[in-house]
Amino acid sequence: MEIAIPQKNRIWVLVIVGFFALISIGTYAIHEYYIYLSAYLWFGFIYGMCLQYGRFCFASAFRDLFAVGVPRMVVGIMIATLLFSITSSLVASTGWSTFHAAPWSVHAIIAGLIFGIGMVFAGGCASGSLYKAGEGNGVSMLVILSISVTQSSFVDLGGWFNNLVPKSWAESALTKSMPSSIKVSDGWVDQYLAGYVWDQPVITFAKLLGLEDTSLVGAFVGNTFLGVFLPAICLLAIVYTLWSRQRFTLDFEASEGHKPGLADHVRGYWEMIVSSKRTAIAGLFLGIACGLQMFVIEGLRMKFGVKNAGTLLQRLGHDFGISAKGTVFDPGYWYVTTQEAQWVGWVAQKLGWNNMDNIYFGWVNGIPNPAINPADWMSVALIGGAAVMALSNGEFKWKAPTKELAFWALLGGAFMGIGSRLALGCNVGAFFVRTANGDVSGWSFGLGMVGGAYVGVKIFNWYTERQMAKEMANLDFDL
Amino acid sequence: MKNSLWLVKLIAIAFVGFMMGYAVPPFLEVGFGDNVELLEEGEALPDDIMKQYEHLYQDDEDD
Repeated sequence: MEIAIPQKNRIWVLVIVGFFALISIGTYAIHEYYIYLSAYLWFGFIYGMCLQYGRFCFASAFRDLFAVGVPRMVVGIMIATLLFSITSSLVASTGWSTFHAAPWSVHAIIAGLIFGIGMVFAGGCASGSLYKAGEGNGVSMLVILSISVTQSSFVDLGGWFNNLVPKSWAESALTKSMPSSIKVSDGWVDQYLAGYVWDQPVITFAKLLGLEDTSLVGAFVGNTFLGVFLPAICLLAIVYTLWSRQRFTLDFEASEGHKPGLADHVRGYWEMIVSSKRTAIAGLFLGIACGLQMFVIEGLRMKFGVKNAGTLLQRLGHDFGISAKGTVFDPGYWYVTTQEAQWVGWVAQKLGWNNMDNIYFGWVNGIPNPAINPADWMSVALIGGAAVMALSNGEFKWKAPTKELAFWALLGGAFMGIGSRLALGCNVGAFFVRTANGDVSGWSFGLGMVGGAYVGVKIFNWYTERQMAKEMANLDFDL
Repeated sequence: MKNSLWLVKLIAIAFVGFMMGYAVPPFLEVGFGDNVELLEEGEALPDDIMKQYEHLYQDDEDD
């Protein structure tokens, strides 16, 4: 049965798209350089549409798996990662990828663990919260606020927290060449980054085979086949064995009258994969869009003769909040959390909190005005794209958070904020993009995130059962 | 409603296509592989912009 979509939804869809189109055309009329920001905007818009269509949320995926044993979305996410890795390798083998692998060590697992607990508490991962905000979900809006504020505050923690910095980190951090504006010895995250993370090796699966990431063989054999395809096949086999096999066996025995053999289980495995059609279709388009974004951004950089959007902003006269090395956050691909930290960092800076003396803002990402921050354009458009999709399908609804849900949203968001800063990314930047590009640290973060999601589900179940028991105890039954 | 969704998709594709028009020519010039350095240099930064940031690279002792 088709749902009747109100006429006002159609109007809102056109208003949202019209607004983004007007921004793109208007800014382009002011200066050609603004097309760089529009590239972020329209890819963000496409991501939003895909995420909402596929219900692409890591928190929901692992909660469904661990709490009720439904693997559908986890399978969809694995397929999406696989499809994205193909487009990534295609772009990487042209030598035009904007992707840079991250340092790898145990920190990625620990960060993933913290992030995983947070996303279950919050009821949405970093990207899931964005698309749910586009559906009018107030809880998700609180999650975004919490992630943003936590990150911005966490990266500037100094004073007493310096006592928690190991001596080796502090010593190593001091050896890094930093301008005097960056107080590298004052700040836990500063010393964690410069004294520990930057000293860790950067490893991709292509490099493990002694191949270049930009070579055709390195990209497809190393990073896609060895780095994504094989692990994904194995993980899906584990998911099938633990969560789908039993149901398939029962159904098979009921219809065929005997136990399934190996060939039947292979068919069952394939059925599990194709049952995640909606998430997989979203994943396919996400993969294509992610690959195209890397290609377009690199092309625009070549066209304008820049390596970072900071140079373009300076040329346009927007020099507030540019980092000490003249850069702003400009990943060149899909990313979620850093731009969330930036807008709070920008507001705090305007209110008198000096954020430009830490490495995260002052040296690497900057805190440009959110109105001209490329990555912020991507996130705002992502919410808009999700809203358009939700309105078109009659799934948009304003939902105010209850006090209890607001508490979990703020707590979960804080965990995710800390986890994403420790990992230098979230479920998108630290897992989805890295894994698809053959970065070993992506799987490490993923491992921690799955463990964290499991712990989060257990804690959440314990809390819910305790609350229910309390409520039941308070009920008076007249028998 | 399906028509407006198609219109939305068409608009998004049109914008992305327009941006591809910017990205493809440099790619055709460079071709496959790591030949990015073969591209002509882009517009240089004006000196006065870099001067604004010079102080950030100086050590305290130099101030």
